[in-house]
Amino acid sequence: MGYAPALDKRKKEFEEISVQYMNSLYNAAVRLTRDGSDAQDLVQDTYLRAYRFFDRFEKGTNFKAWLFKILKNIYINKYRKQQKLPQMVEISNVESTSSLASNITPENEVFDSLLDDDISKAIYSIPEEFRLVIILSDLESFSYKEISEILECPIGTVMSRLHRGRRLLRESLREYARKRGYVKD
Amino acid sequence: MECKYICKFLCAYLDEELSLEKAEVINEHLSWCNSCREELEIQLVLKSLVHERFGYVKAPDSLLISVISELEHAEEYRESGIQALDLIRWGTHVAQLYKDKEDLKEVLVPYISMGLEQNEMCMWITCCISEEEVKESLKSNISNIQNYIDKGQLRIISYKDWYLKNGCFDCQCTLESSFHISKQAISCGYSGIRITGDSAWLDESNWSNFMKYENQVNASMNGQKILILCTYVENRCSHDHITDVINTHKYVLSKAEDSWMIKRTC
Repeated sequence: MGYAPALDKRKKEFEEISVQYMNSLYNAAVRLTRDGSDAQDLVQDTYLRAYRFFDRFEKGTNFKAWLFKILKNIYINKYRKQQKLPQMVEISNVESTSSLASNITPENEVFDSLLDDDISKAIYSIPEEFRLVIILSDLESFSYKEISEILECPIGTVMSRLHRGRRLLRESLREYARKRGYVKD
Repeated sequence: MECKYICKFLCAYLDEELSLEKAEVINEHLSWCNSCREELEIQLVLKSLVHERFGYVKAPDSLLISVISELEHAEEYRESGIQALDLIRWGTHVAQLYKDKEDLKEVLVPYISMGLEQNEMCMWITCCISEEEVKESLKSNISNIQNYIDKGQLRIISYKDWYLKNGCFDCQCTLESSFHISKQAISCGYSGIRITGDSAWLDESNWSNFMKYENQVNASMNGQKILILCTYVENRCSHDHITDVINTHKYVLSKAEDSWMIKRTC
């Protein structure tokens, strides 16, 4: 015997270190699935899979990044395909809009005056690969190295996606600002 | 140094992700270039905008409760072998809507292979695909398939010998056979049983009786170490049939744009 107490100990240890990340995981899940119920299922799936592979987690390495990597993989395999919403805004030629400083009102003031809803929509309008890097960096404050581990890509790719993602975000925010009449074409 | 080049690194500069050496180069450039300073300021605004205005959505309290409760049952979850399904708990009743044999194999080969790998007894009830075809398709995943058949871990049975054992479909008899074989699997030392059954033989005359059986499966699977995946020919199902399938299974797998996705129904 002794199997059950060992199992309990493992479960307790897992819960102790993983529960603190639930809000972060849920937040990222909501941002990815855009649906509260799917987000809850995604987080639940993440915890189940993480617990299943807890033995494979290398102690001393970054547990939060490990959880996010699991969440990202489940999202891609199971949830992304179910999304009903199309990408909202098609953005092109973003790289060519090099000088965007507004003619009259400073751009930062323009962005600041946007409604939270517009800001959310602008972020959601960015293609997912860029949105995810922005969420991991700007919301979750992961380092580029951690993001590269979560996304399983080189640091250079993280850097370029973030660069491009912020440019896309800026263009999208300007689009919403234009719609609100805050900036002129 | 050109502004275009500097701009590429402003993100990383802002995030303090550059080497000291590179950061120095940027510092020097920013000391005289107004346009890049403005660009940096905008980047900073964007970063804080995401952080402060996009904000945090707090997880509902019920999520913590349900996660902890599911972890209590973690040992009851099995690898389904199907990416779109991921882990499924014992007692899960799934349906697949398929168009042709290839669709069927795409889902059932990994599903059954995973069951065999996880020490489950597996039963493939065939209709539109022959026993030889099943064996051949499983060989792509499992080399010694005949060994599994010889020791009784894998059973390939025709629908006639399972659903129509007495010449016609008998709901109660089929249900009893499933639970009988489930007990047998446990007593032989397997973790449980994984079943897939094809319903291509169904016609309008026995549809409602079969749906009655599907409902009874749901009512009796709870707590049993059984996984059931029922397969339905999509283009032979009317709208009402599809609704029935959705109502009687926890997940329904269907193909969209070359990949399998699930509809979660309850």
